[in-house]
Amino acid sequence: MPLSFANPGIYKVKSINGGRTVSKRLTDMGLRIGSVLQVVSSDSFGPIIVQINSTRLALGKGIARKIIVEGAG
Amino acid sequence: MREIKVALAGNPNVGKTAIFNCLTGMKQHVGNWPGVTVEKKEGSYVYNGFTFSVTDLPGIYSLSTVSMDERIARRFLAEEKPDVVVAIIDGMNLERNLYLVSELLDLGVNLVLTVNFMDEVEKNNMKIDIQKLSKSLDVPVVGTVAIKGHGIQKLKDEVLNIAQAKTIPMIKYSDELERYIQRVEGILKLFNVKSNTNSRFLALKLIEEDPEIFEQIKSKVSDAKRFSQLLNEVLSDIEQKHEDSSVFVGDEKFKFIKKILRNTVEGSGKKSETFTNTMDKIFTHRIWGLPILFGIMYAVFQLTFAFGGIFADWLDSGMGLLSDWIQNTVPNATLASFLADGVIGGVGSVLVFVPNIFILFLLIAILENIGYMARAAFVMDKVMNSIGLSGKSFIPMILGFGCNVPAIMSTRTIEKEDDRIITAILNPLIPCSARIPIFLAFAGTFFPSHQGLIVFSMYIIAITLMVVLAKVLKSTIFKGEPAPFVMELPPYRVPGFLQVNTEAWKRTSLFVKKAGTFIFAAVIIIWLLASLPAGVDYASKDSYIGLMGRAIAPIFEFNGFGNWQSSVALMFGFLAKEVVVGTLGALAGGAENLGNLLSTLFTPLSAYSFMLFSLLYVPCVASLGVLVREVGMKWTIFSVILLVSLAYFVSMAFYLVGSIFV
Repeated sequence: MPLSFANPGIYKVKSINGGRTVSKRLTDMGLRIGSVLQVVSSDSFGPIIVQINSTRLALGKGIARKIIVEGAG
Repeated sequence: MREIKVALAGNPNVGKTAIFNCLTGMKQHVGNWPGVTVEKKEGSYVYNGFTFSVTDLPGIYSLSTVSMDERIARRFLAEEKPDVVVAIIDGMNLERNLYLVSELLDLGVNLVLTVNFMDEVEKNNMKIDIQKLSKSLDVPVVGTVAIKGHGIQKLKDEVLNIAQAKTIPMIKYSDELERYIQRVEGILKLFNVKSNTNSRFLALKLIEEDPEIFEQIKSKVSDAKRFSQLLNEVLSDIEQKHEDSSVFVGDEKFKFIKKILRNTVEGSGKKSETFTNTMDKIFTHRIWGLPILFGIMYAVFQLTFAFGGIFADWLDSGMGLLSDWIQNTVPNATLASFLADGVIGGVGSVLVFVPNIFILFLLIAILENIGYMARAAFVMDKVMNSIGLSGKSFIPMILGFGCNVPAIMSTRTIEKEDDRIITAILNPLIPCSARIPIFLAFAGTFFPSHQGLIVFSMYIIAITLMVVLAKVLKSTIFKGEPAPFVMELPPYRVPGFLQVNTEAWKRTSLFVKKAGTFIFAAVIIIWLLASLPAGVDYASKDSYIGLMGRAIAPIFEFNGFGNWQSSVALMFGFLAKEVVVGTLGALAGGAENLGNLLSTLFTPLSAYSFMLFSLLYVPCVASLGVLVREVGMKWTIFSVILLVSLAYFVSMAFYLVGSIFV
């Protein structure tokens, strides 16, 4: 499911759609396919906060829609 | 002795500038949000007889670049070839930080690794084995606490050592990736590509399909088509086995990093996460986040004006006493007039607002250092989206309340060119601290019982107009989706008392310096023009300045301030907004007489109209200079025309409509 719909919890990144610059930027910041992330705050109409290791990222809803995740416990 | 060039590189917000300040003894701006440094800063130090010139680069996540500040950093590292690169990494976040380090190693630079925030690492019961880290990367590593200056001596030693080193360490990836690197390096050789960047780095970036590097190489080769074709063969070979070549390279790098971390780090930074988590539950709350933001902004406003006003009043009476004293003790009448009318009147009427300005800068510095800026951007993202921009465009807006010049520069972190231009050219609308003297001088004279409300209305009007114009620009000239919003939220940190004070003093002293030099010079000219030709009454309509003013004044007839004094003030105000009050103060012949002069020139209605005009037109020459540099001449001219006509027509409309009711 798209990350924008995810409730707070732990997820695994399955794929990142969208442009090369976006996915590259996310990779550089540590959010990659296979990364396990924690959704700290969710909002289907606004930006969300995710935590990957020690990195806390704010993601706009446009980007959150392009990140496909699956539940990971 | 030869100079040794040192560059500081690292992720945003890892304390590069703090280390830069420690090394060079300078006091560059430090904050706790990604993007404080958007252009390279230079300084130097002498150690063991060598001179080291240090360049502090904007923070970057990797050497493939998305925004302008990152391009500056990459170009410097790849093309200027510093002798030593000090990679600064956050001890609390090694994995992601080491990603950039791996790219620096690909680039083949003489590297010293600095693990910063060692105090936080310790506080969180984590252990980083510096020696093992150094051994496994084959690079000298130093642990530091930059804000306290710990480890800087050791860092200087290592920089000196490595500057004389011959061999440059390199990461060996899996055999598979190494084969692809070799193939691409082979292609580069085949086309005889000459570059001062090493071919291994270029090969890796070509495999990652970095657009800038690709275009750069393509323009150099004789047969671009053949080159692309050969490169594509390699890429399609990779993509047969892996989904995406750049993901493949990224995975390889993270595999390498994981292997290193496994035996160098113990424990995890859960403790500080809990604190940040709690704070974020409040500040980024889905419903309360926005009201909290507005509450904070309102508190900043109140403290700046109400609290700062107390001190400003003291200064004002002080200026009056000083001017009386000069009038009574200086025997030469011309000199007394120059000092009392010109200097105290002009420069003094600006300087009385120093307390307000200091408080404003202090509060902005606290917000920056506590870690709130990125949260403000986050909370505003939804609102900014509705006008077609992302939350990132909000940070330049907050900074603009202090000064538009650094605010315009901070737009560099916005990844999308259109959005960056809109954010930059509309930034002058944000009332900077230099406009505070105008608001307070006028509101204090004409609306003494509603002073706070009147000044607050200025801010509301400016922000509303900015929002409307952004929306208009975004739906006409710059159509398109808002820039993607990705931003790191730094951990909350308690700001150092000394640090925020230094920051605020530095900015305030710039304001004072401006008053002492720039405004002083303008005031001398105004005083001269007001005293000449010989024999005229000081600042009368027959003085030179009166003649100038009278030539322009008719333009402002319908705005309600067709008097020559306001025309002159607005004209000189083009230099800097403080000069508006400085000019009127000099013409009034002393800060304490300013109120009397204003009440003869304006009615409350025309005073408000004048405030509106001053609010909206071009802030100062410096901000125009920086606009030209950041968005080019065309957009600067566009911005100037937009702002001046906005000022003219908004204040005129207000005055004409207001006249019906008053």
